Amino acid sequence: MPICSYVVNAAEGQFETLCQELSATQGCEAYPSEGKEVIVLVTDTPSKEEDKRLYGELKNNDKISCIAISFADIPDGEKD
Amino acid sequence: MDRRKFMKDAALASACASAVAMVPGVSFGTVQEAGIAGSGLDWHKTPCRFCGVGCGLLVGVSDGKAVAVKGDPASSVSRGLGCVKGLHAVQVLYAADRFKQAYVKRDGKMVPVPISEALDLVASKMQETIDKHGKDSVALYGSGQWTIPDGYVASKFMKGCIGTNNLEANARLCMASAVTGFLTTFGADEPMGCYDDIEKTETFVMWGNNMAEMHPVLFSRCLEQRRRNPGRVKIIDLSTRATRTSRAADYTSNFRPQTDLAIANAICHEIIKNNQVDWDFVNQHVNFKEGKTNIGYGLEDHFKVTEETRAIDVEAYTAFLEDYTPEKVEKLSGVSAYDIRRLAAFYGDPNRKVISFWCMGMNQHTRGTWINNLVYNIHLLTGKISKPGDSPFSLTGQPSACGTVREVGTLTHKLPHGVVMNKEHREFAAKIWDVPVERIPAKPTYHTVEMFRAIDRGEIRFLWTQVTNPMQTMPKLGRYTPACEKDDRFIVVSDIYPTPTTAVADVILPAACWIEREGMYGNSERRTQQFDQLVEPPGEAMCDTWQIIEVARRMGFTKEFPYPRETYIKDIYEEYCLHQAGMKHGMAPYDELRKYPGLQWPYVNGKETKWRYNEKYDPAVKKGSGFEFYGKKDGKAVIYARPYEPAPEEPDTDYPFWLCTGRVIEHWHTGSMTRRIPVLNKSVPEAYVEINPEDARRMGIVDGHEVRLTSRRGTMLLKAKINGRGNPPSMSVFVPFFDENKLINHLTLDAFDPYSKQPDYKKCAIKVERA
Repeated sequence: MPICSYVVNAAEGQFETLCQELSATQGCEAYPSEGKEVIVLVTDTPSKEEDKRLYGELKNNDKISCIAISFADIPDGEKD
Repeated sequence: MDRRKFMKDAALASACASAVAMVPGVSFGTVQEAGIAGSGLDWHKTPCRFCGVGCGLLVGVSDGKAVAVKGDPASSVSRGLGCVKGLHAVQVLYAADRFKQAYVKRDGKMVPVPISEALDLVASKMQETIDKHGKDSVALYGSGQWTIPDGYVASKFMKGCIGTNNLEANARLCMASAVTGFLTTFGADEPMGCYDDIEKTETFVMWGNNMAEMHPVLFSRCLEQRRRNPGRVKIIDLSTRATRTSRAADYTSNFRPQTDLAIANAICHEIIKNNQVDWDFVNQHVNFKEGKTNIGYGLEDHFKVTEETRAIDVEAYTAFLEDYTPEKVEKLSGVSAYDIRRLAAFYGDPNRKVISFWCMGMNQHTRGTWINNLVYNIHLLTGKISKPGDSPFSLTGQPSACGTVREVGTLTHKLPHGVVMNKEHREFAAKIWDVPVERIPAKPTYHTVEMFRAIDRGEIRFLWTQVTNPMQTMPKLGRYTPACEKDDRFIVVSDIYPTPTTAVADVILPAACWIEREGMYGNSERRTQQFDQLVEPPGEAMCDTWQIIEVARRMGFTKEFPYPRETYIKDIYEEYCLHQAGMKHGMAPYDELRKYPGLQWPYVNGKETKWRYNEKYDPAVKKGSGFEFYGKKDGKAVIYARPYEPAPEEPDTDYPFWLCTGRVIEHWHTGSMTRRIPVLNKSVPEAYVEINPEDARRMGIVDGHEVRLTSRRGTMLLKAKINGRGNPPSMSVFVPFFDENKLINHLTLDAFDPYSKQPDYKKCAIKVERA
């Protein structure tokens, strides 16, 4: 049951749409910043595989210009 | 709160902290209004766990867990700021492989045991070793990350109870040259100025000091001072490679390793030649001396040298400096005569305030004491010292290298007040400790490098380390790791996570970390910072202070360690304060410390002393004297004639490159904590070697290629980093030491400064090959 958090930079002009999209994504909680186009994203997924899949999706999202992991809690037995 | 909710809150707090650190001006008001943890947090003050700056943090606690960190706006040090390490600091408490119980080695394997059983074994093995091999066969090796109470009980236990001076700390590896520099020039340790100098100066000179990465919050104060005074405030970087500090500087000069000695002398040459000496100050407050030369490098076991100084006059000093004209020094150092003159002009301008900052570049140096002396020479000649904005300032690497190792005195020659060689100092300590004075030996034993050599030779058979990782940080590991692995050596390690040092342990004691216990740190500017226990340590993990008390009591020293569990930190601190009482080093009372993010000593009549030795600010200075360097009997500081002497190992045909080692902003020292913080570890997951782009092109190396580094002591494969955050000049490379899978200290040399005994991690000769 991995829990991770990320600092996400939205691509130019995509901040609002990206916030809505992430908030609607299963396993994601998005926290938009004030004044800057930065979003804090907390993910809560049922398995390591699901976490990997979600991260892959985020990395390939054109509305995201940069994503950096900040925190990861991957319970014992689920690590590489 | 369930674990899941707790981890999500921690994840959110962590990412908010990262974003705040990464993007200036960003805020998460709605998150903060809702309360980061959702259920409301209790915020508590604490100094940061990491470097010697001593930033004030507020840690948010929810349901017994530390879940969030923010900068403490009440801290005069950091004013609400924090660096990327500090703002993630609570995560060091919660990684999965934390030691929660003790381990002892049985049949070659570490097996878990109750901590009381492990403490019994430590005490009995220590006693058995003493009985068999004598008091000087046991040693305790601590740290500048020890709290003040940790170091104090360690000193009392080893020197006042067992009766050996086999007590050292890793600050020998980072601050010892600063100490001997202060003692030889001023007769008293630690800076005369404080961080308030930053907002009062006009010039910052960084001597081999990558402050942008190593002391980032203080560096941000320097940048802000320049931003607020455009055109007037200048940052000057003197370094052996281009760093982030160089990029931020107004002027930068790369010098050949070791030639900082010559550059400092050239600056003094110019100041005298241009008649920019503050003669009133010099005539009243300064003596001139010369000392021994060709003093060696400590490469041999049992190396010893004693300083012999001789008074000289200003004419002799001026004649000495004739060897250091800017043109001569340009040839030696690679820094142009023009740049040297410009630097001298900044120091010499009577209408300009100047701070010199330095840290490991000057201290990890086989002539570390000398280069400290030489930078003081510049400030003494110009009278730019002990005044707001005019300050030579030695920065510290660890959170309590000053507070614990230097002030409590956890080094072989030291006592909490004074040195073991002085009969009166021994009597004073014995009286407070209530032990027979004969028990404190009058002779220092082993400094750190020699201590590990003594383990190799078999003179020391029992070693207990706390809060440090010498099997990663000692130079020339190829000798000292096998030494600790010898069959008849017994190694006890108190730590929070597995490290290369716990890998050689016979006993591992799980330690409480930072806010899992109460304590005090002392930062670079003489500021003592108390923090409460905010959360419980995991499992059987125990505070280092209490571990020592438990072992001491098991060895029969119950009378000496009477402190009740409920109040032992307060009791120990108050006992420690007895050693430092007086106008020159009085400590703030415990109850005052608890109220504020930190208070500076000398703390006199309810007031901090911000600038020492200046009558205007320091009540210990003789009235009417203006300035008094009261560490010296005659109240005068010393300007030393110290020559340039080469490094013990310089590049040659077989090993043509210089190797310099150091840190990166993301990792704290050996990485045992920061490598367990995902955002930091992902940023810099492994050590690398910075190579000059021209050298790389010539050798056919591109960024990311594997490169083999070889010294006379060891060899190692590392990935090349070209045009990264640092850029070394041609024929030199840089490697950070945080990576336990790339122990660069297998290549370094165990040469040290003969006076401070501090090793030089910045200079040795290697060859570089494409793998």
